[in-house]
Amino acid sequence: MTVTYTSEHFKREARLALDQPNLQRALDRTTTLLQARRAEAYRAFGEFDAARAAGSRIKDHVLRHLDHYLETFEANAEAAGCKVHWARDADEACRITTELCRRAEAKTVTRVKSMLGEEIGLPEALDAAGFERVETDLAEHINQLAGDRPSHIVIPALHKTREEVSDLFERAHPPHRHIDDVAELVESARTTLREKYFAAEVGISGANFLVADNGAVCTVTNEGNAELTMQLPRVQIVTAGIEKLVPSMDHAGVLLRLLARSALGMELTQYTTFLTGAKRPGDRDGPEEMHLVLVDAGRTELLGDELAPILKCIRCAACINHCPVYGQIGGHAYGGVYQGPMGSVLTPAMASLAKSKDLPHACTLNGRCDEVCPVAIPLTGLMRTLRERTWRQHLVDRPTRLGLGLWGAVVRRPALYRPASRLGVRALRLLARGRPALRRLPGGGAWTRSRDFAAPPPGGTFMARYRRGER
Amino acid sequence: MSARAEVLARVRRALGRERADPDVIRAEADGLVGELAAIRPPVGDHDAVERFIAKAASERVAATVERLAAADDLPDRVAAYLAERGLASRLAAALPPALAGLDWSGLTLADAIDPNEAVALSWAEAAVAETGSLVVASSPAAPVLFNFLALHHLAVVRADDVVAYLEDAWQRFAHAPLPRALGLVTGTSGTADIEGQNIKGAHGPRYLHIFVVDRF
Amino acid sequence: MSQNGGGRDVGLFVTCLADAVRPSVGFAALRLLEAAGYRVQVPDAQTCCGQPAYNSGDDATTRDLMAGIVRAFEPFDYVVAPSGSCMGMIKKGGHLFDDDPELASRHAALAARSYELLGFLHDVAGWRPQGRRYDGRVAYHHSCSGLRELGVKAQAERLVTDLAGVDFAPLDHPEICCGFGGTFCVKYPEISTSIVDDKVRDVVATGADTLVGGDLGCLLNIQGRLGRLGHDVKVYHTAELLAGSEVAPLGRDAPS
Repeated sequence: MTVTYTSEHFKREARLALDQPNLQRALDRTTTLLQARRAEAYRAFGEFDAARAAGSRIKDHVLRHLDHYLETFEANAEAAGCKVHWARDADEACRITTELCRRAEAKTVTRVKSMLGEEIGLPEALDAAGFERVETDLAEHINQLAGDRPSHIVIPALHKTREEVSDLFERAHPPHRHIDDVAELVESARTTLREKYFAAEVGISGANFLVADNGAVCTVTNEGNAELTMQLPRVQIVTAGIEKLVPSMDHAGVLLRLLARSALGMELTQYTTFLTGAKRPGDRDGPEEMHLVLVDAGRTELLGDELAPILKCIRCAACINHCPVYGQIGGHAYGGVYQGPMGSVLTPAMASLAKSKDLPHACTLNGRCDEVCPVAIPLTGLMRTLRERTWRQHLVDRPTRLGLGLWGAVVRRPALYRPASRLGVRALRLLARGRPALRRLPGGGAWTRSRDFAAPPPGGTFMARYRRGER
Repeated sequence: MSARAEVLARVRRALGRERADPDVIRAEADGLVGELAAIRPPVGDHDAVERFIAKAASERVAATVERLAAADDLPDRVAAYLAERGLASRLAAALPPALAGLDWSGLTLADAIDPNEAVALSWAEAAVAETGSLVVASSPAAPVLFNFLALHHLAVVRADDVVAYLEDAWQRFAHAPLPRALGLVTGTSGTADIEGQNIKGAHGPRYLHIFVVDRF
Repeated sequence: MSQNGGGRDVGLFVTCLADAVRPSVGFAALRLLEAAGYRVQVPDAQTCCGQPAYNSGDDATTRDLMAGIVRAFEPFDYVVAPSGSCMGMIKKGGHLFDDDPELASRHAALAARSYELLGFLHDVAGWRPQGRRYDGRVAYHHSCSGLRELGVKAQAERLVTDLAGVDFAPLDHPEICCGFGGTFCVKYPEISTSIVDDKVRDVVATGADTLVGGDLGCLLNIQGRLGRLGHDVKVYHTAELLAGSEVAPLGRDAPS
């Protein structure tokens, strides 16, 4: 099932987000905390920069030899008893997954949050196929009850306050009593979800890494919900993007060290699990079938493109946590399943640039994301590439195009630019009427609605004064 | 064309080449992790066991750790753990041969785990000093759920099985097929999803108690 | 007090913002470079580094401007600009000439001897503001381009703290963007304002009476918001402080 995420209303959604005090408080608190934790983890790991360079090279290497690793992984995973399926696009991936659920005669399907699942619209596809879908990640459980989309790839319910969660749980969790305390709220979810873990016929997760040389699927969580989701039901399904491969466990190790530190400032998440195949002879628990769906959904198109480095992303959210724009508007304004810098590259690259043309522009190009990315993706460079495409494809709005066109015609010609800038300065001086700053500027409301504009001093432009001999 | 063939063809088209030589790829891959010392945190000179205990007991991992001189003491120490917390003297236990022969007569051991089991005892194949992680591996004697379901997770690891790094841990499984489920357990089931508050026991264990045993 | 310049020639790239709204930044840069022992010229053929076009995706215009910069500044031993972002633009513009190897190599040669003013004074010229003073509690705003594209941070702070009379007031979040972002601030004014509000809070909380920085774009933005909110903080370009420019703070009347 293809869910079309669009970011056409970015500006409006962003403005709405700026006016939500609860969201603003949550964003401020969470991003500040995560930045501090990442900084602390960075300081404590003297080899971080070297590890980051190694992580980046590993991802580059895998992308360069992706066909080899896909085939190697498939052979090893199948040998270990995991059935591998391939999907060209989101629809095919959802079809394969829902068909597997149907064959398992599933009524209840438990799910571990996976960004790929969100991306391909798997939750919607499971709902449409009539399964009872249970999101087991606590934040996704909250979002499911609220009908919300994730607002952050690692902390999907960052936008929800305790009071909102409390209302949702009171309605949804027996015995429907009001709870204020966060620990008790978590306990209430534990009780409700525990039943579902045991009731489900199928458990679905994503993968953080696919290890080529032994066919293992690696998942990392703090909640331990992946372990229960993948071990209790009779059938286990993993959906994973084809870019998730790593050559071996040692390569996974390099990236694991980077992932948890970058995401949450931890050395390792609480539960890191490598799964190979279904229940073996003599095993007393585990699924009877393990399936893995390898999903392309636009990745091969990116692979041959200038934007290919975004395929290195390990979904740690460090770029999101350090993005000043995300820090103000949160995740929903981005309109897709991905947010912040990585989302501003991925959403236009994988969906439609025309429908998300704001995203690569809604960035100050401050470069903090480039600096914190654990696999050295040049995010601002990729956003700049997308901006260049919006310009070439005439997706930049007409007033901006005309304005820049006019400016370009003048600025290319110093002989024209000199008198034009002198004229401009004179106009600003007139408008300022002797005051040191302008409070309003015709045509400049976007600046002066919230900011003064310093008026130029008397005497004209630097170039004019310099030519007059002033030093 | 099958989806598999088509995806692989797309990959090769994007990369602008046919198959590459696997030996060349392997050599390149090996080179990327050739100098691990430069890209992982130093574990330090002191004893890996001491380091593991300190890490596991640190604020982040938040396990409690007991070091036992001999395995014979284990049943008593488990009983003491339960008694100190006012828990019943019953627990689900997945015991390897090394532990099954101990005198467990003071406790009721269940070899299957109930959905609402309060306490489960499991065996860790190794422990990692670098991160304070337990390495748990599925096998007929070691069902997976004993590590993830009960509120109190008690785990036993041999001091000799404490290794310095993550790589050392999976190196131990390199000569046979990987266990079906190989887990690194670094603390308990936690969440910070509601207003960033760290709460333990989200789905599985709220408490992790580790026995590091010197002699069997 | 001639220093290491040894009479070598610097072409000063004034920047369009300094040219139009803050000529004193250009004059301060000129005087500082001369004090450091360089011969400074201001080529007439300069206009803008091209960032508005580049950051909007208009590579054709940017390329023309960059080619003009290469031609205008090639005769000099060094190119120096009192702005991290303009200099960042000049240094990273090489890929615009992917189709023209000759211009590409000329650009690369120029980029290799192009510097942001404060980094140049500190690292290349080895200049220090000995004997100069500024009396005030001074906070420093680092532009993101200066910080991350050019690696200018400690050098700039060092120059300021070397001034007698400076009581340095570090920001809590010195590496966070002020929300200017060139055209960003007018394309997404509400988001930009919300970001600069954080910066203003940080500045005000330090108790600084003066804020300096090396990029006029950021300074216009922060001063514009400080002024609108009625905060009494004097804003100068770092070069003005170092050169002892006798000018009114940005957007403010000269103290009487």
